Amino acid sequence: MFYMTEERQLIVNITREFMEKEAAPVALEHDREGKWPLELFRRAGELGLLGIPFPTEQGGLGADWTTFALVYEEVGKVMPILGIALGSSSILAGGLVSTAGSPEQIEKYMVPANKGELIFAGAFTEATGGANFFEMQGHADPDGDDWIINATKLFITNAGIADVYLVLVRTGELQPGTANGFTFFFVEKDTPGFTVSPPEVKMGFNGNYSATLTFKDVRVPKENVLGKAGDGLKYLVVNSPDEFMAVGALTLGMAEGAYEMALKYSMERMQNGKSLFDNFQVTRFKLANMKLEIEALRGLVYMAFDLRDKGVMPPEYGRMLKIKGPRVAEYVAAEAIQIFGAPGVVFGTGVERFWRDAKINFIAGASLEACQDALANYIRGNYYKSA
Amino acid sequence: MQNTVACYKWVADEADIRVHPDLSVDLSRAAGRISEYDKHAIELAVQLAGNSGGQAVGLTFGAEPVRKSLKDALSRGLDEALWIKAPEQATVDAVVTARALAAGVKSLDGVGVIVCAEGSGDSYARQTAPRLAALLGLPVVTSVCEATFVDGVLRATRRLEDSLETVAVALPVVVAVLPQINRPAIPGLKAVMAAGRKPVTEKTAEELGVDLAPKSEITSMKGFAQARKNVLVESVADLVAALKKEGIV
Repeated sequence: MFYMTEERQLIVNITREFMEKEAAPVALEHDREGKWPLELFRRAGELGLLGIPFPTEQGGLGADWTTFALVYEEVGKVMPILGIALGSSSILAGGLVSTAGSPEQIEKYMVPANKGELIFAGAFTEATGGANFFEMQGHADPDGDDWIINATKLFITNAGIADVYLVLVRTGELQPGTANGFTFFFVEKDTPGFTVSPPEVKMGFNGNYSATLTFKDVRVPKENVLGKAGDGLKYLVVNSPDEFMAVGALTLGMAEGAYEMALKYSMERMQNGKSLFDNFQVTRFKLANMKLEIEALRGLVYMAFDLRDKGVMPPEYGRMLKIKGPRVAEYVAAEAIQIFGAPGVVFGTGVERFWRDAKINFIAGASLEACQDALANYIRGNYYKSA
Repeated sequence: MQNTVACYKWVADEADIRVHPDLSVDLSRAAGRISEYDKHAIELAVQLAGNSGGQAVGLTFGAEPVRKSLKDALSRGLDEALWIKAPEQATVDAVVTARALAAGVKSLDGVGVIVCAEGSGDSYARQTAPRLAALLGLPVVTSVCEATFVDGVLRATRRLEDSLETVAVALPVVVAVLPQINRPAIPGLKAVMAAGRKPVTEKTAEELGVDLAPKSEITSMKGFAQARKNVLVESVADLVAALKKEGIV
């Protein structure tokens, strides 16, 4: 593969060793019991799986984004919710801190976060507007040297387990045609006025908490503003492709995880003295098509990450991965269930978990439709630019 | 201060080996990896070197593909590596391997303990440590499940069929360890990145005067399939009776 180097291959092998020895034995237990993988998160931090693309002076590994994708793919093959936990802390929130944090904020939050000693959650979504942040109601108002936050945030990943929440709220009047007037604040978990609801009971990503956060007259000092007040949405626009790309790498791994299970089953399940694979053309064709989709996704994922590493990735690639990755993962997992037959729909075999988890990716972070809309806007803009 | 040597082998990844219905073994798609057993040897060598304040040196023998093992081995805590390079077409058996490793050890200074795994992940022939010790004229302690330095000697516990035997042996010594001796740590990604900066010495077998003439050859290799008896039972009593007949209960 064009993207594989000796060092990257070794990092893949080490990640695989970690996932096989430590995550795989408990992965289904976390899914069944809805238990957040705290121990594995800490271990991943010890091993350096958090903070892969961030500079060493921030406590990161100082590696590139392709290396991050390779690691994330391995995590997705075995335990998607661990990937969600890691990515939500490290990429979604951590990426913003890495980009816009002051030296003091980097030292206080980012360095321990990159070691897995501190867990971040990014809090953006509200009941109104969804992905359209301009309809956001949550706001913060200055009060002397402090800010007072009032907001309700929904479906926040890592809620209840995170130590620090990075909260996006309005801090000024909307200025049409600009991204001004939004600010990110660090809110530590024990801050008075901040509460977390019990986690939602979801169809997938069981074991990763999604909950409602309520900020009622939460007072934070001005030092808790990320970067510059009013520039929050600008930081998010710069960083959101990374979150979407992470979904691409994770869903690639999920598709491979489901495919490997189905392939093994089809080779070992005997009917009339022959394996399913050798017995039925329909099974062989299913696996051939699954493989084809996986390799097509792989090409897109690693092309995008390669461009990201070279600093020339067009931002729409993030959305392409956010659309294509979940689609492939869901398709492959659905076909894998079909190949398994009855055992495929039984909780505990694990193959159905990939399907449930894949479906969540159609919506989490940004819906496929929102991503398609943004991609279409890009296509239109590009058309008129080139006309 | 004693330096410690960990001998390790680059083997075909067991997960990639396919046995065809005719029991022929397909290694063509198998990637290489450090033998899982040898990771225990590396772990112990690193630990003993840490205890004695010496260096832990990885020692391996093989053709070009072995190059891929070096960073992996070094990321597991070894301070440096010595690779004895075999000619591409060489037929290597346990005797040749032991000769090469012995030549490698002789080229190192201040070696106190040479750690091997009891067997390798491919053939598990259990010959390397005894042959290496014989060639070096050193004592060998096999089946080791515990080892530590006490007052300048190595105290090792051997797991025998139905007993544990503890021996104290003067250095230098060759030990062969069982997987029970430790749980190899998974290296962190920072250790992987740092491994590329650790020293690696390459020497050819010819340079070290290694006799590459093997004493044995593999004439065939077949997969092993457990034959099933397919006994049908109709009751628990029948099952118990069948198990008793087999001497299982």
